Amino acid sequence: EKMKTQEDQRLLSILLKYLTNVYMMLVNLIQRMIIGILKCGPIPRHVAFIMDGNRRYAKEKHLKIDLGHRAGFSAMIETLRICMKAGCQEVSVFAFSADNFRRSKEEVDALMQLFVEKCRVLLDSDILKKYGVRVKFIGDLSLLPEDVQHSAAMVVEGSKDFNTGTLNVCLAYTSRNEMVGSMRTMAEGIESGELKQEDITEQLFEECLQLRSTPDLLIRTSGEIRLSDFLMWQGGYTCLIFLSVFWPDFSFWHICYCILRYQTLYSQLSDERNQHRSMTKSDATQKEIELSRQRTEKFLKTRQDA
Amino acid sequence: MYVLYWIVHRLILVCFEILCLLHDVVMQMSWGIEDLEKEIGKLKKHPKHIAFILNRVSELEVADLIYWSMEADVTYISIYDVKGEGKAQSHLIKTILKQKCPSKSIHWDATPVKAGEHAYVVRFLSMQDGRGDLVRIAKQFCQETEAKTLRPMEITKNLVQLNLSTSGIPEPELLVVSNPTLSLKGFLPWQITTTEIWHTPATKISEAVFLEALKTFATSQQRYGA
Repeated sequence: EKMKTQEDQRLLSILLKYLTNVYMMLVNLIQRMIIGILKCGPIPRHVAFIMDGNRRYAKEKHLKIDLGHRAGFSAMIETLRICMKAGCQEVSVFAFSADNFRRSKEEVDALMQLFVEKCRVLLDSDILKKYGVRVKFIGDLSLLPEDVQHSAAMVVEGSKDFNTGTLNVCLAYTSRNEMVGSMRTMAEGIESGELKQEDITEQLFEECLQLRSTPDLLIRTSGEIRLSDFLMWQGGYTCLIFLSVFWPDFSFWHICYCILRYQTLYSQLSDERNQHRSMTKSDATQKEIELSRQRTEKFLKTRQDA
Repeated sequence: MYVLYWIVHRLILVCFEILCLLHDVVMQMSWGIEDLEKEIGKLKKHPKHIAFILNRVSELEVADLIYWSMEADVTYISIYDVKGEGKAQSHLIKTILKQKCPSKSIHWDATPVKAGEHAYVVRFLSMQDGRGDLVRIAKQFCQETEAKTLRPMEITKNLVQLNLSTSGIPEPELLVVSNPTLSLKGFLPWQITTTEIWHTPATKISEAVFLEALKTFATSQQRYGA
């Protein structure tokens, strides 16, 4: 009789495994169908996320803060996966602000350790390869511990040949530091003679930022309604969405909601961008514009290659 | 199959838009107000600086916004619209406010309020004051670099802060966006680090909507990264 119970238990576990697989396949199928429907409308090319709420999520679930951040990492990977499937080409995430160094040493150390660990996971898993995503790190990386810098460099190196999409991880980043960096870059260009005074325009300012591409959609979770020094320049004409869900709970359905919001507001957003573009047109002659464009392109290329 | 997806997509978009509209309408209906002054008095905290991003500028409506902000004890009030209509109509708005509240001391020329002084500062801003200001500072730094009076490494956050045209005026604590989309439209990128951004799709901000923005601010908690 004991053997019969063991046999039953074995059959039960096989059945459960089978049912879980079927469930996952169904979920996958439904997700694919819904993404297929959403793709009939405009999909944001570049989506940015302020991944806020890990600690409050942990507190709510009576977990250690470290587990909240780990759940946050899983949510980030899942979000990246869904965005790439939906046809986004670029995803930017605010992983760690330069201001976050103010947190307790314990938490910062745990975060740095988590980061090194997850870089390893990213390299060993095939998610970057599967979706062709190259990773870039934006921020003042010199503020980070050596092992973190090394791990980040490994991930960048390991993914540099992928070109379907880009994941920008903002680490030790603040938007103000980035804007100062852009001003320094332009001043260096003037100092070296590569740039002339008339080349200093709003467009060049943007192209000298570490993160040059402007997001179409910027989502912040956890209910806070501020930018907290994230992409303040690039987010000037972006559709902002503030959600009250905590980041680890951010799911497929939330992404669908955000994309739908974007699609209903798309024509208005395009009008605003076009209006901005027409208002910042240069007064210079065609020849001057062309010469300026050649200088700035050459300058930006040498900076990129460096 | 694609046609079916397209039809379903259209249906979903329409339903979604209707739901969003209903949600906004129901929310607005629940914001009743009888006495603005009384309601403001109940709030735990109010911002020192409010900025408004407006879709269109009507002198009477803007004058009302400024008046309510002063009633809420907000010292600095900024009115932003992309094209600069606020700037163009500023003298009309000044006249309306002089009639409405002649006793209030308002600095229209953006000079900061000194300690102990009971006054208000009202500014009208447009696109040139946002990104345009930072580009102007960048150009200035580049000229100084060419003249060898500044090295690129000497450009710091503090230096930029000192050179801003808003230098001396504290950053907005609350930003009220009145626009169909929640978009900043190039508003002062440097100054919105910790600004609470409150949005209404309504193109006209009523007393009830204004109070709701203040209530949201009163319950906000800043952690500054910590």
